[in-house]
Amino acid sequence: MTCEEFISRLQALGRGESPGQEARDHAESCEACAETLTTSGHVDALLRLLARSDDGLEAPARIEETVLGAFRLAHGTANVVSMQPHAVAPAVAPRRFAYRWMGAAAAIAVASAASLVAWQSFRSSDLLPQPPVEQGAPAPERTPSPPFASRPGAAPSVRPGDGSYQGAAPGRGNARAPIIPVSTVRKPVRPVTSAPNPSADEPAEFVTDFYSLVPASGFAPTEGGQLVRLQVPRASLASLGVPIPVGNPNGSVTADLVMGYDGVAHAIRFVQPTRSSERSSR
Amino acid sequence: MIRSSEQSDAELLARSNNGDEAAFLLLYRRTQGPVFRFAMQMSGSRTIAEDVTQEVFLALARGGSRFDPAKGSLQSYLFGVTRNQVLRRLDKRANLVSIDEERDCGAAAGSFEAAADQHGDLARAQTVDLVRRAVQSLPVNYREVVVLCDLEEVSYEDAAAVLDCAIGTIRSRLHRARAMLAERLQFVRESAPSVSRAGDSRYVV
Repeated sequence: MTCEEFISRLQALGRGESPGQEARDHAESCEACAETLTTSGHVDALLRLLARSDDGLEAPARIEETVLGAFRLAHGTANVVSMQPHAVAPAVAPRRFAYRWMGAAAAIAVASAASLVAWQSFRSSDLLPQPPVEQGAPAPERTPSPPFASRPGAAPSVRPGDGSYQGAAPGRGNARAPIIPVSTVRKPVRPVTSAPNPSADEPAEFVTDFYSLVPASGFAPTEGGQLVRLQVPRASLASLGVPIPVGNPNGSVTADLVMGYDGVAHAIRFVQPTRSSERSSR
Repeated sequence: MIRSSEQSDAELLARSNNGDEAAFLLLYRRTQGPVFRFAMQMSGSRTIAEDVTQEVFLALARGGSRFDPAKGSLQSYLFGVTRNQVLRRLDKRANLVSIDEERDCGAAAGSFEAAADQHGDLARAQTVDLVRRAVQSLPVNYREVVVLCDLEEVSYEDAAAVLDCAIGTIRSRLHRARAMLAERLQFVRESAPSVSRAGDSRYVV
């Protein structure tokens, strides 16, 4: 046997197979091939050490819950998913969001059930892009949704531009509803421009009402806060019981979260960018 | 992957595609470990391994897998999907290498020997770490055969199915990869000869 044949024999061996008597004889007479054989055994021992060391490695338990939630969603049993805070965290960066948004995620879980109704109506009628209104013509009167209309004291303001937020004292009616819209009228944010832009009449984005995330007691008074925009995966929303109507189940939904200076998430609303705003942002 | 249960992976997948949650859960628990380990050993990153494992099983949960039993085992299919996901992420990460990572990569080869020199008698954990880093330093096409065949003990046939190449290619890549590892881990052998004595040899001499 030549050295080339010895190497070929070694290369062709499967796991645990013997190179054969002929190869062993060659190794005894050839120092280089004997070294090759010994080195190969040494590398094998080291790799087995590594394999044994990694043997118990498994994916973290939260992945099982997330995957199981997706399974239940796909097979129509999403309503039995437990509302774990981490389930709301984006799949791409779970650790980054795990602690920072723990409170917000829990609050979103509470809001999700109530947002079901609002979400459907949001997608179906009011907030879809309306045909452009001629200048000078009277603006069409918007009728607030009956269940959320005329709640005294439940309209804290959100100042556009600086992202700051002022809370409102809870009204009497607020105490009854666990989740209360902050704003009683949906307000598409319209671009402030008079340039002859074909998309000037089209709102930059459509937003739902703010929904209080403070359960039962209504909207808690607060000195102020920050409006934080974030992406919530559709799968996470669905796993929390919010049905995904139409669209890419892998996508995400834009939401604005009102974070108080006390670190508590006070309210949330959902945002739908218009096509023109998406184009301009590119 | 565990094969002790009476139902095969393919049968469990079929049941789970029909909405059987218990079957899906059993299938997940059977297969998540090897998938996670493969992703971690390939990428060297726990974060990537977690992301990839989640993506692989989310696709399975949604019934969107293109698994064909005629083409191979579910294990091979999952390894193949995992490999693609890992390579995609590694490609992205390659474009976003931080200064620290660059420094680490550049010093990788030298640091093996330096570490061994400093600690003549390496502890087992350190040896494992050195071997892990040596595997990580292999080019991807050699690393994947080592991880599949040597660490996850996938058969050459299944590895060929995962990597979509001939069995001969698997054998030759494995041989070359082991030669590279031998070069990079030579000092470990010199420092800790007990490792090779204690380990059971791949080739029966």
